Amino acid sequence: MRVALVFPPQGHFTQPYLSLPSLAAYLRANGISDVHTLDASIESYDYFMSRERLGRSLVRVRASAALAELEMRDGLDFSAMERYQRLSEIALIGDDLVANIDEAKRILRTAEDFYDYERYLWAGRTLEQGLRLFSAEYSPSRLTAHGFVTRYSVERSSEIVAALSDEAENPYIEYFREHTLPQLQALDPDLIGISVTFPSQAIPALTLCKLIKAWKPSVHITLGGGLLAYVAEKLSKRPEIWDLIDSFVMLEGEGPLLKLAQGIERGDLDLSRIGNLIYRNAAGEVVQTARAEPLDIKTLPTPDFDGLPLKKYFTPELVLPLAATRGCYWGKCVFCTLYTVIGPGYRGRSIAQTVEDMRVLKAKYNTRYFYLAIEDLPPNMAKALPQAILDAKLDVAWWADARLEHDVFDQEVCDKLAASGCKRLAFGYESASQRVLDRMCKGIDPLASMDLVRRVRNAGISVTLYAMIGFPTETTEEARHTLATVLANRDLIQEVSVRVFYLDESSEIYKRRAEFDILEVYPDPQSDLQVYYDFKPGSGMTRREARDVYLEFTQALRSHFPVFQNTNMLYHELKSHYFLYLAKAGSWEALRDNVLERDDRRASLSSSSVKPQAASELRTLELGFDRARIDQRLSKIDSATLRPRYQSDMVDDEDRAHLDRTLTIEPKDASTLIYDTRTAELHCVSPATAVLLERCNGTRTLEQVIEIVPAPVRDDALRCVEQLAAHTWIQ
Amino acid sequence: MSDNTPAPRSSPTPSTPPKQGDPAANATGIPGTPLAPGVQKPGLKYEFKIAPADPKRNSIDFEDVADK
Repeated sequence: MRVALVFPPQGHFTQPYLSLPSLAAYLRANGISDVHTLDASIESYDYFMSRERLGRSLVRVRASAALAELEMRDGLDFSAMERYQRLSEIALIGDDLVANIDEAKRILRTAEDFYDYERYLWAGRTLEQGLRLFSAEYSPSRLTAHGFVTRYSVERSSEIVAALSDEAENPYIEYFREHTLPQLQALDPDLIGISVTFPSQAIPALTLCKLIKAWKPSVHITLGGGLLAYVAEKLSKRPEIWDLIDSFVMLEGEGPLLKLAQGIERGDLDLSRIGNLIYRNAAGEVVQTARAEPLDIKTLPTPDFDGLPLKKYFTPELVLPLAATRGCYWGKCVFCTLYTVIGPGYRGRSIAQTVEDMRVLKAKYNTRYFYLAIEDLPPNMAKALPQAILDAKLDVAWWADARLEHDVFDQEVCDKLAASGCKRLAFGYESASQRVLDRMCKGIDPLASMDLVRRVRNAGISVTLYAMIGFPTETTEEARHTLATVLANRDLIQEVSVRVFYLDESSEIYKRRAEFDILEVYPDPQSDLQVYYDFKPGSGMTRREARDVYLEFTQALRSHFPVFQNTNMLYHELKSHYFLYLAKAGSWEALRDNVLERDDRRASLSSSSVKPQAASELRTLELGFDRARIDQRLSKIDSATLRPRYQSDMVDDEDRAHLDRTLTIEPKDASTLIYDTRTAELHCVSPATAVLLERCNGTRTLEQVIEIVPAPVRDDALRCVEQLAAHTWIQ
Repeated sequence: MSDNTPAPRSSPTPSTPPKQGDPAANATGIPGTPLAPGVQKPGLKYEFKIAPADPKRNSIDFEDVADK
């Protein structure tokens, strides 16, 4: 009896996800020993971001030829601007990217280089650019660190099915055929479990199922994971889905998966006797079995990460996820559904078990970094876990989500948490308005919350706040008050993760929507898998206003929070990276002062007698259009014009046609794109700036460099040269 | 100040176009020959701008991060 467990793309690439190690450990502990785990997400990232594969993308994209075609035009419409933006970057940096991508991964995986701030940023930027080059091959599909989106909506089963055979836009068809399928063929498993947690995994997961079934129709494929708790029932109504899979596991996977494996091993598999399952019976009817009891997680073994490609994650040190609890002990917030889809019900491991899990994993995988993958740190654990970690002399660093429990996180508890290695706590703050918080049933007081945050900061722990914009009945003033409060306390807060409220059909608020003055819900009739709805609020902000305040919020964060400024954003985006940097620096203050805000790269021209010389590491590309203005225009379009599409900023066909028709055509206006190979940064300069840069060839004094400029603007030219020097583009 | 007409992209001899942005090439066709002080490059706007190129669409980053 052989089981293969697969985590399909796309999940985050800085750490393994917990589902496969939990399931594998449970199967092994219960007599199913021949279990193999495949993280196809990190494997595919690793392959896509390789010299060999990226070189293929470069050839296929033919950026220079495609760009030349755009340059022939008199003006660019919206779609052409998007292509221009993409192609101009690739035409300039494509060759460098292909040559450097393996080095970028090496830096991210090597402690010595990863913690060198400049090296890290170079690697992070190169990786981002590499993902853009790869995505260009499959345009308009887009693979990033955080998502995989295509023009096929994951809320429509017909579109998902169509994506499975679109080799031009679905990169995973080729990838699975060349890589994952051969791995599975070599294993030849009797049961394949595929864990689907994020919407971004839906199309890749079913793509893989289709290939597997074409190879071996008899193998039992079961799909489980967080996403299925929301959509499995809907998906099961589509007949074509049953050509791809044999069963869905709803909610917790351990029990059903073990019974599937045991049934197949014995040769008497009876799906009707396995709880939490959806399958199609011999008569062709879709059957949902009875709810299974949630597991007592105290009986579960420590997760087993064996078999995963642990050296391939894009971090220098392994950060392991660990679930000390399942579900949420609070479980009252009306917008939330997480506590209903895991288990359901709140359960916890004992403090001793959690410490033992850490000890075992630390010794086995030689890492001291942990992410407690829990909904919130329960009060007993906040109080007792730190001392237990200290008593066990574990020497670990860890972070977790937590509730703003004013009475729990006193200064002593916060200090003890810090002493035990807690580097970061992320709290659900949501709003600074007591009225809004009360409507949410958050059970917290926003003023007391800031006192709590201060205590956490006093202890040296980095604070992340989650905030929500557009909760039904929330007014623009209330949302702006939240923003103002966050900004006023920015010395205490390191990160803010903000999102627009979505109406989730599994939530309490959806069931009781009249109480929240939700007048109408607008389901999309074509979206048979839709779980988030647009709606018409009877009071408070409109959806558009909420979206606008959200953008205001994100712009303010970029202006006021060091973590979000410039490319420091990398730390925040690449989650484990920020955590590892925090752990390395020792404290937020040290990270801020010694890394984020260190600015010793800035240079200046010492005297006008020097003969400035442009850095030899610069690459330039002259363009017929103003690339900087195109970037600016495209970045501003979203709030004014587009309907937000759930978990994707992909432009719908209808919106695209509208934009192409109505947006002012971008006129010809030359610019020069500059790529600094030392930093992997891209800049766009005006032609006059490019002329000055070019004149800095080591033979002219500063005065001679600017002498071609008309006298009235010579001071501007001087300032420009100083700016070039500040960028270290001239020395 | 010179006029704002962008320099033409297409060259009558595409295989050896004058390198845009090189004032010497535009003036004399011989790269490296300096212009006399004060001579303006035809078609060049004297605007000095340096902007980071940012092909990321800003609006979605935070939500993406929050979801994972």
